[in-house]
Amino acid sequence: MSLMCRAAWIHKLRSSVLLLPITLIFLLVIAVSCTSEDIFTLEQRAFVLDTQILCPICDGQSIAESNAQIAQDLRQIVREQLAAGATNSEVLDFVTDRYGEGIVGSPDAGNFWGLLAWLAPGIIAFIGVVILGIVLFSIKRRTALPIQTAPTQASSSAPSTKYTAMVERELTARLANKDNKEEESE
Amino acid sequence: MISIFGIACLAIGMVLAGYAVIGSLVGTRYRINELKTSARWGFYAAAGASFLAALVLVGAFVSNQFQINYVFEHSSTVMSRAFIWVAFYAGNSGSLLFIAGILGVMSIIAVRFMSKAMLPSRPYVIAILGGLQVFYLGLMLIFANPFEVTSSPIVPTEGQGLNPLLRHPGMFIHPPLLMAGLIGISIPFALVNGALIARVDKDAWVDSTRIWGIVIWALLGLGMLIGAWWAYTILGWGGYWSWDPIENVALMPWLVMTAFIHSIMVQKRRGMFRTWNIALVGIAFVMAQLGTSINRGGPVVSVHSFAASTLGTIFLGFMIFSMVFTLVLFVWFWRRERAERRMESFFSREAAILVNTFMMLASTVIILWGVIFPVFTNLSSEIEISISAPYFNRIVGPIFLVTIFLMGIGPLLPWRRTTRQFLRRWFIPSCAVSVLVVVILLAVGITSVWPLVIFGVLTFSLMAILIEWWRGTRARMRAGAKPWSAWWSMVSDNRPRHGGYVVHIAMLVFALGVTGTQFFDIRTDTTLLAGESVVLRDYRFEYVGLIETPFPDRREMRAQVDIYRVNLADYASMRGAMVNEQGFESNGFRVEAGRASPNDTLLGSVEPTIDFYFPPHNQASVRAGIRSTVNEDLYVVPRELTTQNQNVVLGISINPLAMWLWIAGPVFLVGTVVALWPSRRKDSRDEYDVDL
Repeated sequence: MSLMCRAAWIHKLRSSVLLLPITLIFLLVIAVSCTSEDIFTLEQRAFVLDTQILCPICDGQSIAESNAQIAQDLRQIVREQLAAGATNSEVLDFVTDRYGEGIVGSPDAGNFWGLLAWLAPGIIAFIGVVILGIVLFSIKRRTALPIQTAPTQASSSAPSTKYTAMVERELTARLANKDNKEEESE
Repeated sequence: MISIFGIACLAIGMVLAGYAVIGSLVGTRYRINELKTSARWGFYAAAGASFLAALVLVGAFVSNQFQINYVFEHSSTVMSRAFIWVAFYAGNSGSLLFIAGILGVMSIIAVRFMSKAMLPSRPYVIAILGGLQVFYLGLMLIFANPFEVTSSPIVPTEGQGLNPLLRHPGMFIHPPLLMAGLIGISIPFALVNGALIARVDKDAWVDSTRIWGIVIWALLGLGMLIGAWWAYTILGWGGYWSWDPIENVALMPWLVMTAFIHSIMVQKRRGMFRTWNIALVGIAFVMAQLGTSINRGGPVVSVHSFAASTLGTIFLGFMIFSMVFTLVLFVWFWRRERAERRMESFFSREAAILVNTFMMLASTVIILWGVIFPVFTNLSSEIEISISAPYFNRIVGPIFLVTIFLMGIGPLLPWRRTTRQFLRRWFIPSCAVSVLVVVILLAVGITSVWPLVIFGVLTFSLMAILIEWWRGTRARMRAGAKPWSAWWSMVSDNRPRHGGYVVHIAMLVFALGVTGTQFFDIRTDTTLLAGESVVLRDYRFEYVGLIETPFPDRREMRAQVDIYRVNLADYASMRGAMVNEQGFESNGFRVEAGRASPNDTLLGSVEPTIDFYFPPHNQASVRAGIRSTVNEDLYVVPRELTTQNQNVVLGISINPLAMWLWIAGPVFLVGTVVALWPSRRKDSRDEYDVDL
């Protein structure tokens, strides 16, 4: 059997059919590892809170990472509070009441500075989108075809510029087609 | 004397570098070719002198020259011999020397291998790189001399040894890659700005800056990944990125360089975005200077930074100088760099890459905000704000998600404009498969919103790449090639593009690891006596015993923990109230010695370790015991190991999909190599733009 005959069945496959086994393998990896039940035991909540509370003397580490004495003490406090029935935010409030706002790794949106801290990324993103929009529109507008800005100078040579524009449009369209065809066959 | 030789290298290097700067500029201004040539050779010699000085320092470590203060502080005869070779970049002055040395090596390569079109820029490139050399060498000679000899008459016969936290395999790879990546940004910076000043042909610098940009970007990225792996093996539960200021200042230039290497593609292919690229490389360079300034005692505290010193202020000053320098050059020369091509559609690859540039820049500004904002608020004692991991995770998460989506859709968008075919062939099938994935995950029991969204987007992007590869391979197979060689020839014919796809897959793989470890991890802390176990999910971790080993520099306490897979039904009676010994509701439950089920299958054992280092360090360093499989890591870290009361406190966690974080590394490297590999055919389609 020639090479082409043997491989003929592959040619008849649509891409979608081959995607199925790939998807299943992908899923298997995820599903096997992530199907633990959502356990929100006190201990799990304690761990989450540990990552949110900073160790005051440890250069920016959370009490989850640090093994300093004060970090251990704070972990103990968190667990005591949770065992006494506090909610997550009540635990955080308890800690900030004693150690100040700075002990929590993310700012409290309740006061002005904390709110500013949280809003700033949104503002930055918004400004970015606005500038992006301006840039995109200006690039599109700025480099328009020469024919549209040259009628004042080119009155005597109007016929040739008109044909030039036609030719350019035709070539652009053909080239765009060719570009895309090239990429499909790659 | 070795230290005099080292200092001589630094001094001669500095003088020669200064000569190179002045000679290049004067020689160009007054057209004295001999002076330019002589300055170039001076530059090579200066760079060589820096590299030589670094070698001398290594030699000082290897030969135990404890009369040199720096060697005394970071080396000893009792620490593991292997660390002798890398201890020299552990401290402030030694790492400066490493930076100067590696900058020297890269500078020689950059200047020596310049294309003909770029030659007019060479004197200016030499001036910029030479200026950097002068700065670093001068800094060392005046403020941070690594070769300084002790002033006491007694020569120490023993040193203090390397910081225990640094005695880890990661020490061999992470700092060099990171430092090389950060200082390496100077190379494309010098090339671009040298070309600007010399007014060379507009696209002469595209090829070389693209190559340098990708190489430096890859070094920096791998350096960060290895740093994350290092942290993973020693931190309390398998954390690997804590948004520490030092981590952030390496990430920020990397993000800007990501924008650069994508945008440079547009310049190469369509001659657009030239001004953007000039700006991007300048921003990356300034960000890298900010990093150095923060790292050496700048205004932000971090576990990573060296002790506060005047150097921090000097680097801050240098950063401001480079900002001004970059801005002046940009403003002076930008007007002639405007593009003549037009962007025809918003749904084109050019537009997508511009969107990517903005996303990377916005992310950089946001992260910078997170780093700098506390510095300003802390100036006032009334405002107490800390910004750390919880803030960054919440803000960066969505940005990361959008980036992943763009990674899938971006490469599919054709140049210039999109057609209906695009929707039919790629977009709809990819969407369909990702919806299918989300449905199946829901059915399996995963219901939290964020992970579902992320998995869906990951699937979309992965499918987009795979469809592309499938179509390309099938087209070649129609022409008679076998499947593997069809795929290979497709990749070979357009290496930048397909190498880029592999790098994108590496990012998707990394995102997979992040999602698994962030959303599905489960942990427990427990105190165990020998023979006791704790059951977490469907694994049983049995504490077997403790092995104590003395070493010349430390006392190693190794706990052996056997891991079994259990059938939870066997333990139904013990499971009762899942509380730990303090009566606190726990994720796991304890099994007393001898009461384990015989049906459990032994999977293996891990050895969490604490090393107690002797004076002068008196520190303990921790290493987790990790059992890695493709779908999850079983992670045991010792909280307390003491022989006195016979029990151990262990932190145990199950980290799903953790291995994929590290698999991303080699995939990333392969993709980068493929993208950079030169193709034999000079007329390959992607090289020259057949445009009007």
